[in-house]
Amino acid sequence: MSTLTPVTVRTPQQPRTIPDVSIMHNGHGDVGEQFNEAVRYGAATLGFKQPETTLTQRQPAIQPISGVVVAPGIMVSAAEYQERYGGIDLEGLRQRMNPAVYKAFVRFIGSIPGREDLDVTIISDIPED
Amino acid sequence: MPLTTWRPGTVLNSPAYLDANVLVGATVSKHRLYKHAAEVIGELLASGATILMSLLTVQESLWAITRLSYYDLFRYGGNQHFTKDIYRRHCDKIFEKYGNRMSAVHSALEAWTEAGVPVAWVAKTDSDFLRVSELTPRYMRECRLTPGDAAHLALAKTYARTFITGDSHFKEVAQSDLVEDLVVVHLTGA
Repeated sequence: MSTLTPVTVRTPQQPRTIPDVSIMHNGHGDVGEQFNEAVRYGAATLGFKQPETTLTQRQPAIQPISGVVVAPGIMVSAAEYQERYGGIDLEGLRQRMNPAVYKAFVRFIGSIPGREDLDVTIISDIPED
Repeated sequence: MPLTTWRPGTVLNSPAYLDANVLVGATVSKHRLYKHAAEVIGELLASGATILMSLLTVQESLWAITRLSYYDLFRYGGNQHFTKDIYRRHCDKIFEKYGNRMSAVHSALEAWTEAGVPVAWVAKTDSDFLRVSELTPRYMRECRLTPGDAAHLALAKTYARTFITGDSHFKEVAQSDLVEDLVVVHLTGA
């Protein structure tokens, strides 16, 4: 059984989601092993029969993480994506910005977690006393 | 002074002066102006408009982030009373827990500049400072604005073609003929 899941194909309206990637935190696994699994998975999807592999030894150590790649090198969780970028036409903006500006933009917006009861026009006033 | 309510697709004439609530509005998530503040910043960056910044905008942004951090520190609601004295008493704790937030605005401006975004600081010259100091009390009186808001308006009037704000007080100013050639773009909740 592979621990990798298929990549969601990117469309202009839909940000690219990355596959769940198993990270080995205790040294029982490594990048090479994950690469081999990815190759086996790809081969299997193309119709090449793959030998059964047993992963029971390492399953307890696997911590799957998933997220959304907003820009090269910038990945956020699905919840953070919704909070910071939900409803904003990122793809439309990305097409009009150079990559460096786009990266600076997505890093900036919503970088401080806020709350719904906040009025930024009030808290931006300099306290009088 | 023409008044426009921001919607995606609104044309923003360059240069554009940002009120602090727009800069903070795009930095801090979840509040009612967040989506539109982020969109308007995105539009400025995408269109290549010159973004005008002032030390007043940075100062007010830092107060806003400080105030939010104070609320978060004590889990207060978003309308809790806040004063300079409260800040002084809790400054160490605020910075101990949320100090990294304080550089968010600087980091953004630095990243924009390094990426080639035209960011200009105002006021620039001695004569411009004099003009802003002359206009500010005039706008205080005639528009009943606070000194800070009047200074923002004076800086925008002196340098910008567009003034972007979430403050409803400027909607009234837009009805007057004081600053005819400045477009006020007002942010509302999404």
